[in-house]
Amino acid sequence: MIDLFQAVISSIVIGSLYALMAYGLTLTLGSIRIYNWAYAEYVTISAYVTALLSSRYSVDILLCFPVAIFSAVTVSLIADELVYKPLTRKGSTIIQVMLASIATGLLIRYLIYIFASVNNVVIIKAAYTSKAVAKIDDLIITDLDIFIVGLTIFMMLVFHLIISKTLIGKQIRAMWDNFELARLSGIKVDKVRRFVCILVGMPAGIIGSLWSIYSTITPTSGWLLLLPAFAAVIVGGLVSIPGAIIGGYLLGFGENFFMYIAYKFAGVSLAYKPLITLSIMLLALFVRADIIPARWLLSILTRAATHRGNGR
Amino acid sequence: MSATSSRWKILAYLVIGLLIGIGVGYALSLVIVPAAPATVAVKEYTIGMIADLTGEGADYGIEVRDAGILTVEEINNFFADNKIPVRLKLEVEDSKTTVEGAVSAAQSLGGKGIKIIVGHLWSGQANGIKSYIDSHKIFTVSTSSTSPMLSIPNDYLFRMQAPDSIQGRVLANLIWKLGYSKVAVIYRNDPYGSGVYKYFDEEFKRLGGTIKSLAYTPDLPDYSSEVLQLSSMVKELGGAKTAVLIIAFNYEAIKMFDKARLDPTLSNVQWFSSESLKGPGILPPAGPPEVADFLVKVKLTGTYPASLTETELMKKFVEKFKTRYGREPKAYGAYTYDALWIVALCLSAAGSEDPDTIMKLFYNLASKYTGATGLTTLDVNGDRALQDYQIWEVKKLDGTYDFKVIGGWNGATNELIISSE
Repeated sequence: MIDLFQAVISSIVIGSLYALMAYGLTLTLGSIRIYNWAYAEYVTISAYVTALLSSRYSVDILLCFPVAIFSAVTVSLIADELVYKPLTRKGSTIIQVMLASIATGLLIRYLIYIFASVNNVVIIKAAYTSKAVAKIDDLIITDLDIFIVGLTIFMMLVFHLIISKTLIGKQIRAMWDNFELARLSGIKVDKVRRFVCILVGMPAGIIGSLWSIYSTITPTSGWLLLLPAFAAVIVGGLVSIPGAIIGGYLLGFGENFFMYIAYKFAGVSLAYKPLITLSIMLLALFVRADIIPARWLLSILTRAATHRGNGR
Repeated sequence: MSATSSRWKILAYLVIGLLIGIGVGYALSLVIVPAAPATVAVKEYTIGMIADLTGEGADYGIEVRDAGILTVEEINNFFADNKIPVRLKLEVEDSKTTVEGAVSAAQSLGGKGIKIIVGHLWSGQANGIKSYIDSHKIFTVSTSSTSPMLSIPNDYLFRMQAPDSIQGRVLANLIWKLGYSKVAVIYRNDPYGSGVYKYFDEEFKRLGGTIKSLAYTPDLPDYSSEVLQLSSMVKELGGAKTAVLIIAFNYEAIKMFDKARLDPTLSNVQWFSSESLKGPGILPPAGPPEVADFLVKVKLTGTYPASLTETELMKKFVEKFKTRYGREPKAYGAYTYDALWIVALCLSAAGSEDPDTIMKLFYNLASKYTGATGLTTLDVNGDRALQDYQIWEVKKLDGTYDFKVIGGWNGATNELIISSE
């Protein structure tokens, strides 16, 4: 039973990271129409920044976060200015821009590889040792678990407020709904685009920093996180931020809680864990990307909440 | 007869006499004066090298490359000093710690006409390039592949290390000898991990032990559920005689150790490992100190294929490597050193780089060659036949973490010795 709770905690922690990453990918896709595969490398760069600053230069771990966010935002802006924006202006299709993002990602990754190999930091971890803050029998909750879940939820709320309550947020939503109409109605799309790059770079910086504390990192860390994050985006219906967040948690639970149950009670090997991600992704695509389980789940949750309200 | 015609006659006799004289003189000069020695053309052979220079395995690959550069220099100096008209040149390709990278590197080297490859080539990579090197007749020596699945006779892949059928048995005997009759095993679900596990499982059960096992998928971002399951398995096995065996690559193992260190069950049993964790990257300064503390606490003990008595050649190689690169070779450098030397001697003897000739010579010569890693005798599959293993334990001495040798397995006598310290 204790192990079951531990699996739930792991699911929430991993799910939070997937959800935050899925948020960044969805925002890019919805507002500026890019399947941004290079997003993985923004995460890796910020992970290396935090790991190097904290372990090699003894910078306080909390001070590493703003530097890592700044790095991810900078790379996000540079990639957009040098690659995505010129391609969009030339009238490239969404697939062409996606291929360009894959190439950009590979380029960045190999630069990270070279840097890491030369400096002997291929495998590195941020200098922070997480500690148990709650212990019930063998069930352990660490300060890092609480920090990851707390920070991701807080950041998602902040991003939600920016999108829903500010003028720039309204402009992003206008571009999201109809890019051409937004442009014709006088919205300075280039300015909004830059703001979107900042908004998607920020979660990348946070995830990278958190990941470098949570786990050892390598030049492929961001890449390894990309598949489940994209799966979450697909589950979320590609352009739904709440859907992507729910998708992230669904993936987290699938890989941890569900696999634990499957192994424990049906003897399913954990070697099949990656199949969870792929199956959820395929299922979402089969059902159709615009009526995906996340929306279905949302409506069930909404109905359940309404039902409870009526019962009272 | 006029006076003019008799003058011409005399002149003709003189010319003929002169020509005969020149001919006789030249013939005598060949007999009497020895010929100047002909300049023998020095033949240069290019040896392909495949190593993980980038990616998670770069720590190992860079060491293999550096050892390769050092060894080729040493060989060329030796040949030059002894007027042997053979020189080697190294052509290095990065396999990027992936199977696809290794295949692409092999194809690139094959495309350049290279007939001999010496490489890091862990089992997954060796398996990946096998069909290419066999079909293109490229004689290949791996310095680190150990999977029993690749023990195949009459192929073009030779291996400087013994297959894990031996290491699996050594691990089983080691764990059994240290008093553990139950083991929870977590292993990499690839030719390497499955290979070690298969032979460990057979031997440990033969000894009377109980095993619970868990295969994990390589290259996942997170291993929380695997560690949780491992903890659950240890609890199910229960009792003081339970240990954990991990067969993993260092970058995945660190992630697992980092989770396991907070688990009360997993941090109170002894852990064992195969040779893949003894290398750079696990312990500080490269690895996290909290993980190293955990490894000291759980007394991580493992095997490592190395001669029990350090050969003179090994001492010289280590010294040379340290002088050149400012660090000690930890993993596969010495195997690269031996592989390149045997290849060089084969090339010198054969006078050509015909892969079939070199392969036969390599097999025969290796069986009589005692290199830095000891006697390199090969079995019928082209794999090392006799293998000693060092037994190491992670210890912290004077504030420094290290893999301290605490015993060994004698490959000739199948005897396990553990230091009483």
